[in-house]
Amino acid sequence: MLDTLHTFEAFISLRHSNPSLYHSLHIQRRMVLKCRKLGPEQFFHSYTALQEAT
Amino acid sequence: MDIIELTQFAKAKLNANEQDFTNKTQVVVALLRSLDVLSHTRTALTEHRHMEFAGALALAADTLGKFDLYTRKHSTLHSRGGTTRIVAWLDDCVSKGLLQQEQGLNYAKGTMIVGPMLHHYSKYATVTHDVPIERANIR
Repeated sequence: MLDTLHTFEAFISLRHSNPSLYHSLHIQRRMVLKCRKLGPEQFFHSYTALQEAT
Repeated sequence: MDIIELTQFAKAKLNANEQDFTNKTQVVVALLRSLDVLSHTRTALTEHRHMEFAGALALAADTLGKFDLYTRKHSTLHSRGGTTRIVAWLDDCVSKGLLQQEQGLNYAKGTMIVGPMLHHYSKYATVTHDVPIERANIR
């Protein structure tokens, strides 16, 4: 399983590393469920980090 | 600029196959899907509409940072070539903080301002990242 996908950035990086996986329904559903489970504050990591830094 | 005009521009740019713009649009679609604004099911039927809408938002983030929704009347939006779902999507964007209504309303109407999160990920899309994927159960 894709255990390292915990952030939005990790999911969208699949566009380059594995495009067919990225466009699969499985990974899109996984992204939605992960965001619901973790909450946007944890899921959107780079944006949250940017806010904390400024 | 009107959101329907923006979606038409976005459609033309997507058809022209501009790589940077397509990347931005795909990231904005992913952002909207993660936040449950757009549906992730039945994408074979709805993806082109999602891409046009996300493209319009990416275009607004790139240019003026704002756009207008002149009317919420579905028949007018439909007759101008837009999807009638656009009002519900924009309402969700406002409630999730991706867009801000200029007068501070909690629904989409009039001038809409692109929020900082949408700006951030629109810029982020142009950067290529390599996040290593570790697969469990493989030795």
